[in-house]
Amino acid sequence: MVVSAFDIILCLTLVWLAWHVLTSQDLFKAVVLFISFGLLMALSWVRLQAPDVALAEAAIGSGLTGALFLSALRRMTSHRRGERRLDCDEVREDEGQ
Amino acid sequence: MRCVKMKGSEASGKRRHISLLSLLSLVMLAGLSAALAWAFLTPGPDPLGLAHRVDAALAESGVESRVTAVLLNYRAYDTLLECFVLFLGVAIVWSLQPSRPVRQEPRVDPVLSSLVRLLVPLMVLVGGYLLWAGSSQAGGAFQAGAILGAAGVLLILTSSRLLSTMPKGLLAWGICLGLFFFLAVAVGAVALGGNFLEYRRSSATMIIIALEVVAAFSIGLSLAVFFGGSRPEEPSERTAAGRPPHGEGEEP
Amino acid sequence: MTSFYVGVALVLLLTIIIGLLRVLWGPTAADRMMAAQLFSTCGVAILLLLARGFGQLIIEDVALVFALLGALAIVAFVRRAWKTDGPKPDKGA
Repeated sequence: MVVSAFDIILCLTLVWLAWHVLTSQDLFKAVVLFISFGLLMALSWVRLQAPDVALAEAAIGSGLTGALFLSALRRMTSHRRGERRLDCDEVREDEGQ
Repeated sequence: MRCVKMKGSEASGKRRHISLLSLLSLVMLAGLSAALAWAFLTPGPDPLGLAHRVDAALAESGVESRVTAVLLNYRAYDTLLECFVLFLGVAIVWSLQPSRPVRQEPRVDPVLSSLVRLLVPLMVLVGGYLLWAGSSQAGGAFQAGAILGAAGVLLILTSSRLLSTMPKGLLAWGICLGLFFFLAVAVGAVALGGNFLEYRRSSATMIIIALEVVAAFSIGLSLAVFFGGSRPEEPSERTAAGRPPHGEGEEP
Repeated sequence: MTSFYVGVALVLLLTIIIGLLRVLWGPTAADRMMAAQLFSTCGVAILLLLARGFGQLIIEDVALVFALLGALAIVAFVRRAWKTDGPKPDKGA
C-alpha cells in the first residue's frame, strides 16, 4: 500500500517535473529542475530494480550534466551580454509585477 | 536593462510557438504512454526475456554480475563501439573553434579548497570501489569512470588552468588508452586463433578486470575533458591568436 | 517493517515536492540552487531508507554516489553561474 503510493507519487512527480523542464522560460530554472529530475529518475531506477542504471544516472544525470549545463549557461550569457543570470532574473520579475 | 527588454520581446514572440510545441509534445507523450501501456498489458512470447540465457552462461563469462557479463563479455562489441563514441566525441569537441575561457573568480575560498581536498580522494576511492564491485554486483567501468570524471570536473572548476597546464599529448594518449586496449584485446583474440573479442575461459576474469580499469580511466578523462570545452591551448598559443586570457586570475 | 521505512521515505519525497515549488517560484537563482541542494540530501536519506526497507544493500552504493556528487552542482553554480563581486562586465548591461 505505502510502497505503491510511493511509486505512484514518484511517477507523477517525474512527469510534472519533465513538463516544467520543457516549458520553463528561464533557462536557469530549467537547469535546476533538470538536476532534480535526475535525482528522481535515479530513485525510479532503484525502484525498477536497476541499480546499475541508478548509479550511472546518479553520477551522470544529476552530477556531471548539472555542472555542464550550469557552465554552458554561463558561457552563453557571458558571450551574449557579459551579464550574470541572477541580475536578469531579479529585474525581470520586478518588471513583471 | 537592455538584456531584460530583449528577453521580454523574445518571450512574447515565442509564446505561441511554445504552446504549439507543448501541444505537440503532449500528443506524443499520450501516444508513447498508450504504447507503453499496451506493451505492458499484453504478454509477450517470452516474458523472461534473455535473462535465463544470460544466467545459464554466467559460469563461463568470468564474472558474477549479469550486467558486467553482458557488457564486457557477451556484448563486448557494443561496449567497444561505445568507447569509440566517447573518443569521437572528444575528437569533435577538440576540433571546434577554441572558446573564450570562462570568466571565473580567480580566488578560491578556503571552504571550497578544503572541500575539494576532501572530496577528490574520496571520489577516486569510491570509483575504485565501484570498479571492484562491478564484477559481482552493480557498478562497473562506466559508473566508476563517471565518478572519476566528476572528480576531474571538480578540479577544473577549482583551477581553471588545469587543463591547459597538463601536457596535451599525455591527455590525448590517456583518452585513447581505453579504446586502444580494447582493440588490442579484440585483435589479440583473433591472433590467438579465436573470434573477434573472444576471451579464453581461463583468462576471462583477468581480461575483463583489466579492460574495466583501463576503460574507466579513459571514460573519466573523456568526461572531464568534455567539461573543459574546446581543446586546451598553451598560454603562448592563446596570446599569439590574439585572445587575451580573460578572467583567469592574471589581471589584478 | 518495510512499509514503515517506505512510509518515511514517502514523507521525504513529499518534502522534495514541496521544495520543488521553491525551485519554481524562487525569486533568485540562489533560492533555486539551495532547494536543489536540499533534494540531494533528501535523496540520500530516501535511498538509505529504501535500502533498509527492501533489504537491498546495493542501494546504499547509489546513496554513496549521490552524497559525493551532490556537491558538484553547487560548486559549479558558485564558481560559474553565480558571482557576487567578480570583475565588472566588459559590455554595458
